[in-house]
Amino acid sequence: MIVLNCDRRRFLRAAAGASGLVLLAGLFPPLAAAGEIWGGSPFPFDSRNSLLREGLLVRLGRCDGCGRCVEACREANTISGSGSRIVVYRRQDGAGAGYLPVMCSQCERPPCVDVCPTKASMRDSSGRVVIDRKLCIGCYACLMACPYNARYFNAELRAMDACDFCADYRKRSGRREPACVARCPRAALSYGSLDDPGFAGLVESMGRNVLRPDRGTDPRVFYAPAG
Amino acid sequence: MQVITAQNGVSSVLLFALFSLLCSCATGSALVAAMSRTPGLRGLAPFFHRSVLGVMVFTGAAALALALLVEEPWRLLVYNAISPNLLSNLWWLTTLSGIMAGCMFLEFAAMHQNGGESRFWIGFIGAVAAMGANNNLAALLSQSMDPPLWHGVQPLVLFLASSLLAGFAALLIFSWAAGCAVEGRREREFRQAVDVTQTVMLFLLLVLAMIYGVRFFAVWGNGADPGFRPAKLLLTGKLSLRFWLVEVAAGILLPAVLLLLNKKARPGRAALAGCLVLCGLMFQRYDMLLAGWSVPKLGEWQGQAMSLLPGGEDLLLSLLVLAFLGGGLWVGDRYCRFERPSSHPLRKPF
Repeated sequence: MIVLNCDRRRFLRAAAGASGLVLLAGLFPPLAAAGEIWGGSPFPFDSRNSLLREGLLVRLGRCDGCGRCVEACREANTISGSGSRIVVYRRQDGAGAGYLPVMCSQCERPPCVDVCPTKASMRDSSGRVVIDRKLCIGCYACLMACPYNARYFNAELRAMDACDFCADYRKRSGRREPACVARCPRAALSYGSLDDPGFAGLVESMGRNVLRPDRGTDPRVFYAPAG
Repeated sequence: MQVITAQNGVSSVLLFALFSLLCSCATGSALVAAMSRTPGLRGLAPFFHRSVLGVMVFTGAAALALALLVEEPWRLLVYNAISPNLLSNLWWLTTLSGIMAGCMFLEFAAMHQNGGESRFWIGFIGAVAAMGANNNLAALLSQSMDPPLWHGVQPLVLFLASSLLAGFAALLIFSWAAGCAVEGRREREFRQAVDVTQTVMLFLLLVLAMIYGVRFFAVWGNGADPGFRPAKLLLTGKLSLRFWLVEVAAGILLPAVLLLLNKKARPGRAALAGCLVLCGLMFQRYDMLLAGWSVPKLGEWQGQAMSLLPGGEDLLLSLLVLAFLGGGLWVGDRYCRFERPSSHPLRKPF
């Protein structure tokens, strides 16, 4: 029972002391290091447990920021408004020119799927992270949860949208590769099956780097650093 | 050449912050309603009726804000029910808020029919749902910061203190305004309730100051902490003026001084302190979202595209929600005529 008819000063002093002890324990968490942007994936991608057996390799040394991948993506997926499934970022710190194409990393442990209140963000039978537009309410929860900022709101569809390695386009056109990979003039993007020793070996030889490995999402988009 | 440097983000930051504050006010009011029925806190009894009404109206206003925030509010209603995701904080927040408002509606209905004992348990369930909703709100907002400033148990502690504070502050303002507008008189019980509320608010302000102090001290001393960059933005960066002036000075220190000096429990002065507290808490959420989204997720590769001021549409929609809130409280108070402390359940045997 809380008694409030005691002296205010005594009450405040006692309550502050008691809660201070509890707070101090909770507010000093174990020291966690700030996540690195780059790093080798801690997950072996030859694991048979992984659902999605395909991946994309981005060779940053070859990317000159021409934006053809963005154009191809918008054409193939008929995106006419603002927004894009691929965003090409330019380095901001003045340490020379550098470009970073970012698309949905098709994570093996996707945070966007966990946070979606209506299960619109989900994994299909092949393991791809896709968005069911009929279920999407446009709450932006997936956008906030995505560590790569790889989602955007498609104003025409009134739903969130993200790269799914051109699943619909490839089915429609019968092509093997996503549109961005086919259009890139400097072959900065490669697409392949992780069960293919050639592609898997290439990714392995390039260090199996992914964006923000500290988040533990196990992405399927790999980056070969420039230089 | 089509190179994009901007960062994707939510445009209605002010409305999102308002939604969060309204959820906190609803949670706080539900907790006050439950507390006012606890024997040791009889002094809060005059706030009981308004806190029950407050939960319903605050939840309604938060629902309106959410409906304006999301693109398809009707789908939210339907698919929340038929396609639930039990891992989603937003799903739990909306569902538990619905349960909380439903319980308070039953409480409200029972209040007019002298329901008796069963009401206590309805209120208790409502308070538990309110706590759950508050935890999920804390998780949702802390998740929106990446890299996070508040993580683990920290946002839960911060939001529990903030929500209780918001609930007390909102009820002080509501009761003071209703006392002036409806009857123009203040009773002895109301003064006592204000006195108790002042003491609890002072304690909560102290807790809030301690949470800020300890967390920022911990982050500042460790440059490798993930929260260092958003904390720097708040403490010394472009958000620092608002943080120190509005959140700390106007939102914590000034109300604490006002409450300490208000020894005669003058409702007007207490309500002024409540206004300042709510203002500080509003900017706490607004700056929390801005600080989270202004720090790029991909380090030096992304630009900082967030504006520090809300857009026109954002502002108008927020004003619309506030108008709805004010109208709802005014109509509810006029309709129910709550200035009858003798009808409080504690005055009758359970």
